[in-house]
Amino acid sequence: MQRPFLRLFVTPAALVAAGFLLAMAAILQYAVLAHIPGELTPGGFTLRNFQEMLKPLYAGVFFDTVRLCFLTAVLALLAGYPLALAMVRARNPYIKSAILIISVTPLFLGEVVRTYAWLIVLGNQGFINGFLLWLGIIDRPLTLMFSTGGVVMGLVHVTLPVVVIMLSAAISHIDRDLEKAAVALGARPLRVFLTVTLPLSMPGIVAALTTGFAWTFSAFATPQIIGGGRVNMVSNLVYSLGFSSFNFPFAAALSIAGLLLTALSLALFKLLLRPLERMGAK
Amino acid sequence: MKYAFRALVVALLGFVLLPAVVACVSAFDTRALIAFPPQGFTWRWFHRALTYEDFQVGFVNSLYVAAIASTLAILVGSAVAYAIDRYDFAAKRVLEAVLLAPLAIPHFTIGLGALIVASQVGAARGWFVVVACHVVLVLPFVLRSLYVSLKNMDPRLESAALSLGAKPGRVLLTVTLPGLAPGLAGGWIFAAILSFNEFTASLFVTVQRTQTLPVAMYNYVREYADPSMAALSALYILLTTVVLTLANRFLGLGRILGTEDVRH
Amino acid sequence: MSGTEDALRLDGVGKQFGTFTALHEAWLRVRPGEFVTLLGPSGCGKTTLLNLIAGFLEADAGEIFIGGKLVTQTPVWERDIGIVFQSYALFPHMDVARNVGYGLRARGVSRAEEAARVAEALAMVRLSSMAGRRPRQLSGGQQQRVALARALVIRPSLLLLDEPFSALDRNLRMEMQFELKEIQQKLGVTTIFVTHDQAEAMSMSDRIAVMSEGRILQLDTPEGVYRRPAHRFVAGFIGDATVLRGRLKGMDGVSAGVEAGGLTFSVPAAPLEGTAPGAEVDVFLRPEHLQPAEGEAGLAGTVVSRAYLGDRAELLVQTEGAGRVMLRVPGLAALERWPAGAPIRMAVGSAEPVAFPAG
Repeated sequence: MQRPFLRLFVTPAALVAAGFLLAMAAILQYAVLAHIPGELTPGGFTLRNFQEMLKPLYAGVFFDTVRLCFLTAVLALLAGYPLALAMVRARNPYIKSAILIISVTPLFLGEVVRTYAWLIVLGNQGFINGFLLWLGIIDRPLTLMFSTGGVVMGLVHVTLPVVVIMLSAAISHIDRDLEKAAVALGARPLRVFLTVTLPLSMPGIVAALTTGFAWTFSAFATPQIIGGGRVNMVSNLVYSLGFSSFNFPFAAALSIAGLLLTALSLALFKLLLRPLERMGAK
Repeated sequence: MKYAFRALVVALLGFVLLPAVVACVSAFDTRALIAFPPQGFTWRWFHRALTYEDFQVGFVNSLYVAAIASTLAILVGSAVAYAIDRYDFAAKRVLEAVLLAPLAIPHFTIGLGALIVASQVGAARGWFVVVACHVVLVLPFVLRSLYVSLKNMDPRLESAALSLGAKPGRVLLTVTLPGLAPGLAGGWIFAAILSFNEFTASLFVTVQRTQTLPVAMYNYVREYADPSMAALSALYILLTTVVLTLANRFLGLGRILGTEDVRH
Repeated sequence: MSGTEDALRLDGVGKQFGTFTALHEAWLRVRPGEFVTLLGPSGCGKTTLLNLIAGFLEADAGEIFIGGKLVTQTPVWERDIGIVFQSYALFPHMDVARNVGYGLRARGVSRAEEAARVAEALAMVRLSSMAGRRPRQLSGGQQQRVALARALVIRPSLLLLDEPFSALDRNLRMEMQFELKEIQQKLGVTTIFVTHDQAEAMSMSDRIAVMSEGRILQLDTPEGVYRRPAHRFVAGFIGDATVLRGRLKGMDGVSAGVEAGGLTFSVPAAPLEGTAPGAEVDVFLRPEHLQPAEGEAGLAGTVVSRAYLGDRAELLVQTEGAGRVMLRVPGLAALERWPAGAPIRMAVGSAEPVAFPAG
């Protein structure tokens, strides 16, 4: 087989890949270098950065991050499935497009605008409190900002588009004749959903859960702005270490640990969810 | 049952839209703070947002960065996507895995790495690191968009063109590129939007001079609480909705995002 | 050069994919104007061979000559071939005229000449009125005719057809076969046709190369491969044969006598050369090799099922102790006389079957 232009086609991408690998290598390198307070240039080789992480202050952030990621992934799945199902199965193309566009809007709004908008919703004088006060359900504002609940709401909002995209891809691959066959055999809609549609969309559900988890892990603006320093994720810690303390070696070590933790969690996820995934495998 | 499901879907869509709607409403509040219910009606905050210098500079910077990064990404990405899809070459799978890796690695990690490398070579204050970082981040999306187009294009078309006497360069220009046009356009728009909105990595690799719009907005939110940001958000939301609707109309958003089974 | 008299010549062409041999040394000589079919089941190497001839694959061994010119190392675009693919591969972003003119533009033909030749080619396939249409606006048959016009307008020295009819429904397929054959004969273009459909191969070809497992087993006229299969595989693949185990009674230089199921068949001697009298042989019986017998003589059996084919019918018969065989009976009367379950007696028919040493 001839391969015209092979070198021309591959070289630029190889350069980009090399640049990316260089950045990752730099993080690996910094993670094992000592931080000298007041200096930007790191010192010699050390493993102290990783020992430091075991302190309750930092370990707690790791624990919170995993908890938030898991909670967000599950909630986004629960909210995303009906949307994906409604979108894939909508007969009217306008309704289909509308659901798609609305569902993915958060993805395209940009983290800052989206998070800022949540600030208006969740603030002490924000939409929810204003609305509930006006209805007379509460007599003083609920603390939604700087709370885990508020952060989770923001995170679910960010993660939802990705989950909807993954689920709708999976649902659209389900052979509709299988559902017709179930109906012809006398199954009612709910039974058809539970015995055919849901099991066959399991690979998509597993993919959505794992991707949702990883996606949430990389969230920065949402916990930074809504969490306001009181709800911290690894990303916020990395940023504040880098730009408040200029401790780049520790920031790098935290990033590495974060990556390892995500990889580990995802591997565990995959292992635990394998039986579910098999259900929909062909 | 059917109606309960519909109500649920509508409620969920409401949840998705709620912040955007609330932000748009707040943008017209006459008071200099965010509070519900809003009072009065004014365009003042729009005027302030559009004349605020950091926003203006950030907007222009973002426009440049997005245009350059997405164009580079589409050039680099289309070439390599084609090579990966059609050819066999050494380390092909490795190259592909590295190029797609930014999907799985948090932006703050990539931003930190880029910052460290840039400062080591004394380029931390320049444009290059910003653009390079954006290219790395949007490239996976470009690749995915092009894979869809490549899968949809019959490789026999190129075989046919070759058999008719066209040299590879001619085949590329007259058959391959036109065939990939939807994927190229979709990938380019997708990349431009993502780059324009990119925040976390940009926060790490930009300085005051190279600050992009999302970074400028973030800095504003930390300092001020007036509805200028709400006004800017409203404009943002409007623009994004228009672009998304157009992209869906002409290119099929579902095709770009992979929510539809493209084999149909 | 030695290959001048042949339109296509393959000298020991072979192709490996890793450890898998897709094509063993293939030798083939095709005369100018000839229509040669590569016939075989999927995976037999026929598509690999076509891709080697076209230049989409590079041969590991052997040489390929087109029109007497050595092309083994020549890139596709310089081989001067026309191809019609199974998927037609019409450029979706060009109209019919631009599709057909594509190869002419690539050759730097003037616009005026391009227009004239495109018009001529479209007239040949009766699609002059469709010049401005896009491929997706055409029916399957029309798309195929455009693909044919596109391949022929460049006046290739070799026309390659890669299962071009398999996407068409049955009636249209027959029509297109006649049309293609007519155009091919009119233009006298040497044609290599790839198919797995033996009826298609039989009706269109001057010669058929039957392929299996990467080898050309027999190259012969349609009649030759049908009546004188040179290989067990060919005998089983062409026509609907049932195999009856028998015994060689004796042979002379030309024909041999074989006894099977109580009947004595006369078969060609060549395939049985070296087989000792009394040895077991397999007789490949097609429906026309048996006929109903009157009285109590012949091979006895019971009708299992029947297929009505208009002027004749074919019966599937379970014999007593010799497996199942097919036999052809003429006319409607057969249906009344031999319903399913009816007893029947069979005698040797007028045509001569073939036999191979028992495998």
